[in-house]
Amino acid sequence: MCECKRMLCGLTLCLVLVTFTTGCWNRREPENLAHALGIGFDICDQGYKAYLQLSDSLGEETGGNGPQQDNFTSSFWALSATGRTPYEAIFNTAPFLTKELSVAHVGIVVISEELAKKGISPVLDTLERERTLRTTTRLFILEGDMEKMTQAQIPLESVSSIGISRAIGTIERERSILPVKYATTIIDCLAQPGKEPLIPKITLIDESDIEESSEEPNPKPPLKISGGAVFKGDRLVGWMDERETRGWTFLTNMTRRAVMSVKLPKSPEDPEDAEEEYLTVVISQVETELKAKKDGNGSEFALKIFADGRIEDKTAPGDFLRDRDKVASMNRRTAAAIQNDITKALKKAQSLNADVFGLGWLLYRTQYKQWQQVEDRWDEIFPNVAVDMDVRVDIRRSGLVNRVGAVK
Amino acid sequence: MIGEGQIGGRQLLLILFIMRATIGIAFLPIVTVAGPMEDAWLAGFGAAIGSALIALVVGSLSSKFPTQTVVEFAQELLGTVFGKIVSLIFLWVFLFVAAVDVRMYGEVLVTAFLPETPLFFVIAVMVVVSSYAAYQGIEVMGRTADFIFPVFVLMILTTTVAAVPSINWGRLQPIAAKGIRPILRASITPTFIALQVMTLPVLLPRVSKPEKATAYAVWAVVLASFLLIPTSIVTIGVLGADLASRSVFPFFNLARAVRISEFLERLEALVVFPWGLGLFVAVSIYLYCGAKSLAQVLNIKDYRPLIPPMAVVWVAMSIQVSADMFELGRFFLPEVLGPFALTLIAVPHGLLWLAYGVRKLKKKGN
Amino acid sequence: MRWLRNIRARFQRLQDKTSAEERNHSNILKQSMTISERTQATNALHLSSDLSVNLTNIKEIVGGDFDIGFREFLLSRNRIQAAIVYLDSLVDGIAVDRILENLTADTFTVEREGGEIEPLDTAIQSILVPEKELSRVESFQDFWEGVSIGKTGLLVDGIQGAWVMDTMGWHFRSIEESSSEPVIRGPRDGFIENMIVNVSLVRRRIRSPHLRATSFTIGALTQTNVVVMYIQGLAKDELIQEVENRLRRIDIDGVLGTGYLEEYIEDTILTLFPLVINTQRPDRVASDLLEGRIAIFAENSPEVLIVPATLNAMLQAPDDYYERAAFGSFIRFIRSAAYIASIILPGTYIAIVNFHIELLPTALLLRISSSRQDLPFPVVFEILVMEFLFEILREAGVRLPRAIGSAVSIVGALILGDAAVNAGLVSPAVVIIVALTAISSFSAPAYSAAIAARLLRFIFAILGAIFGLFGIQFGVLLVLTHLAGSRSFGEPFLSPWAPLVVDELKDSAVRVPWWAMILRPGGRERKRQNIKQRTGPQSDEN
Repeated sequence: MCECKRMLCGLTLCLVLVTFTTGCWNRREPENLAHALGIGFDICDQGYKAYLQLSDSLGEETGGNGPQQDNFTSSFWALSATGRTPYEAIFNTAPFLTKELSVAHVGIVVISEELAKKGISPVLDTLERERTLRTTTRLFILEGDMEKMTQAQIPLESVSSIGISRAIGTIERERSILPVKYATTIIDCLAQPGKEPLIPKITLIDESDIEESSEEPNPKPPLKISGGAVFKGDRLVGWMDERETRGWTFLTNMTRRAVMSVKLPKSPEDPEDAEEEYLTVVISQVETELKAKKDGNGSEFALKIFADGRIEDKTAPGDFLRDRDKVASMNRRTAAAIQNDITKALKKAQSLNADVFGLGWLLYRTQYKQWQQVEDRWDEIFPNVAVDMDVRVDIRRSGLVNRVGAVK
Repeated sequence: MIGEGQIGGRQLLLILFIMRATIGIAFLPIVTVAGPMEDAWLAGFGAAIGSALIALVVGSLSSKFPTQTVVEFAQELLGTVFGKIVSLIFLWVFLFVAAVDVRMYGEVLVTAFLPETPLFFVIAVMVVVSSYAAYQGIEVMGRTADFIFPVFVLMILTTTVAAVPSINWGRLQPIAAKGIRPILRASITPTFIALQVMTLPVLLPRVSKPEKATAYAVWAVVLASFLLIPTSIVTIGVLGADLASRSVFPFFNLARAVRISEFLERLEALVVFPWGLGLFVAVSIYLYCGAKSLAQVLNIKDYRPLIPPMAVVWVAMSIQVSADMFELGRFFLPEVLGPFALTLIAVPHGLLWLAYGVRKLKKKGN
Repeated sequence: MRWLRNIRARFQRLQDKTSAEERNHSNILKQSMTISERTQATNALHLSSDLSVNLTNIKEIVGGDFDIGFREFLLSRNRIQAAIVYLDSLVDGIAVDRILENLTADTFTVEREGGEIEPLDTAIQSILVPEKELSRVESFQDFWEGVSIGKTGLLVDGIQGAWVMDTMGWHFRSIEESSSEPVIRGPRDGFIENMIVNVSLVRRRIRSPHLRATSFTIGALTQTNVVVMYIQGLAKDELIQEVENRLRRIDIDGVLGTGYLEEYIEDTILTLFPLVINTQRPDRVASDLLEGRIAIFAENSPEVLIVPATLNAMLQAPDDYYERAAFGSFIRFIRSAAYIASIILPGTYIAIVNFHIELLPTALLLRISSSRQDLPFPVVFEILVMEFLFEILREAGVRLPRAIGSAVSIVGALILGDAAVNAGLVSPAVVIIVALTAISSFSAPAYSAAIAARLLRFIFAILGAIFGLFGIQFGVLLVLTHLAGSRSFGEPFLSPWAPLVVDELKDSAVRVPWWAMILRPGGRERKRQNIKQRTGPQSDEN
């Protein structure tokens, strides 16, 4: 018993002493860390160039007098360094920093176009290997100058990285544009047979615009998130625009909500030079069924899409309540619009010979025998695959009114 | 000295379940050892059958001697000298498996959370905590297992369920398209991790109903093998077969890749908790069994004084067991672990069963 | 060892001899005697039949003149010398007067009609019948035991021994609500310093004849009455035996509260957790008795001990049973969570902020790190200092007169905390954490269980500062093993969680309705009630 007590005393004493020693292994006081919120990667002569966006905690709050709400300008600090590997590049910023760099809260990683063309797997490797970087980081490919991008000030946001992270939530909930993917998803995509990654794109708006607008009370947004970067392996081979990425989301069952405007047919009584009239339909409840045809030798696929629609506005008069044919026609036209998007996306992917839809992967998963036969030739087969499309849209409701108001 | 006390059948089941599930979850051998496989979870069934067989072989012999530990009945069957030599094999298993277990845990902490903390310190603290439990006796360990089990299972299931929305079910296809051989290969390592069942012959005399202990042990290993199935399904479904098989700690990586909401993510520290809890149970049982059987080999009445020196050996052993993470990983490859574990199970049990059979026959002859 | 025993035996013999000599000289005590020698001498003293010897002896032993009363008188017509002895400070004067009146009344005589002479002691006995409590004592020890609690002793010349009558008239606090265990719904009475009243509070609740109360006298000088109460046939016999054995073993000068006893009867002292429940609520005692537990009362102590204790029982409050079952369960959940938080919260905060910043949402991390900008101390130091500060405040609040106490806590908590934050000495987050921990620790219904939490908190803070969350885990495992290894009178402390008793979980983290709690948690007979009872209009049907 006595021995036990002595041991306990000794142990407690050791623990207490250890606590107050300065070099307590991994203990870090949060104020002694510089928190990076976003990282950008670019190539340079030395190899990689990393751009960091650090939160400036002094800007958020000064002293002990509580938060100062008016102080929203420049609450971040952008800096960059070069290195032979991405990791080295990040940690080469150390000489410029007075605090220890922490990358635990990096929410987004942006890769420049040039680096993407060279290959992104070294960056991905850093992301999954480093213990504090998260694999739930979102990846973007930037079209434009990285330096400008890291210094860009987004209206309504204190730090552009946080702003972009916030935008991701909106993207996932609201729009049918390309869903933003975790680094994990892209790493997995690279490994899966017959599947190529499609990574969201950030476009930097022309720099001259920013210069002007920064002085104005209502500055224009410096960047926009839309479209996608098409990869073949880990290399960038081309871009997809907004409509093409929308087609991609339809085909891969990623659409949650799509806003589509459909041209209205001209009635015979209209004059020849009448303006085009449009109808806006919000598509929701999309169900996509993609199958590889059994007898298609791996090059024929069947696509079925069922979707619900809701009319949001309409520029020409017309009454759906009484005219059922009109509804059917609207359904057909909307379906055709969706089909157009998908075809455009497919054409683009085929022209780049990058199977971003994972058609080959579908074969691998569902018809493994067939896949073994085409596996080696997939690059030759994919540009010529045919997808039979059967898109059905049901416009079920017309909002709170059923016809356009009468103008006297 | 207070009586050593007893554990109930349920507590035995929980102890063996936790011991097996911990190391199974720790590095999900069925996902990692046999290369990228979309259908690796099928190996869970193979592991269940294989480990149940091992538990049967070990348990049914031991239940023939419900009041004796393996050290005692080995001496009865094989004579004092050979009996003690066979007991030393058991001792070696306890020491070695526990050392590997603790080392794995230490490695994950040092790899992922405390890179600057010395490995020795992490391992030593874990062993000290466990030896405190071993010192308190089997009854206390049984109760701790009672308490830890729900927490353990709940935390694993929570992680698993939280990851379900992130699953892309396509990543689990094709199923069984590449033949049965890779699946069998993947089930070797998890099967032979059932080496842990070799603690049963030491625990059995302390179980309140020794005749049912074998059944409990079989249930424990089978259930623990089945726990591997949902976890590996989710891991592959979220990470993909390739990333999962490349991971050093796949279940941990799973937690890293899961985002429950914008403000609730990076829960990997919480995944390591059930692991630590389970490891605590496992190591304290190994320490108890080791000290207990060493005491019996050396004819010492009380095993308790042996625990502190043994704990020191344990710490040294787990530092010494491999130079680096690569060597430790290699140990779990089916080609290495399979023959190694098979020898450790087959040799002593073969001898004991043989001696038992001979004695049975002699009795019949008389 | 043997030589020691020899010496001791010889010493004993010597003592016996001297005390025997002294008695012969009717010189019981000597000035030079120490207290234990005195006690030994007086305990051996028997009352003689000679009144004057008795009175001399008593005067010699008791000495002093402040509150001891001797009244010598003649027993009415027979002219027999008698005396009553009492302590002025403890008796009810009216009762003493009444006794005197009775004894000196003209009607009192030993001569019966027809010249028959009744023995003196029967006659006295019969005239004293109206007294509340009357007992005959032979030794001085018993005599004094009565007198010292306010009884009156009657000594009669020519009669061996004495009578002791109940004339108690001392004052005690009236029954009021327990200040340390208040309830919202439920009875308001609480124990006071008078044990008889305390026992009566429980007796009124359990009127079964099988409710046993056995008394002990503990404390060589204080001679404190201790009562062990249990329901015979429900409490386990071994448990009763064990409690009584442990109480009998106690040899101490004085017992001024049940806390003294607690330390003697605990299973081990190497623990921070109380292994005995103490309560000021009679309903709590009654409910525990009904579950086969044993209550220990002590004179002058408003706290009653209950054994065996479990952690589960310590986290329960009487309210849980009076409120609706669903709410009772909810509040228990909150309470358990608060109890755990009061132990690990500061440590967890240190661990997360210093080691696992990735667990925090980005915005929260930036808030914390900016509020800590240019602070002089590390988080651990801040937490430890603030916790110490809080403990000082709390202690000051308890010690000070009640009116000032609240002022101190306001000054301490509000002004000091706010000033420290404004002066940039501590970060606001730490103040929040410390306050939250403090509030959590107040929610534990058993004050003594909260004490364990208050001490463990510091250990967890240090562990958290070394290993981060894993330190917390190691700490939890240590505490868990320790608790799993603790027993209170043979009952596992963590029961019913470890070992798991599925049925008893009905009254642990949740509280099911009364009709569903079919089994008692402990005790000899487990079944508590008819299984088929259900609430609702059809409850009579089977």
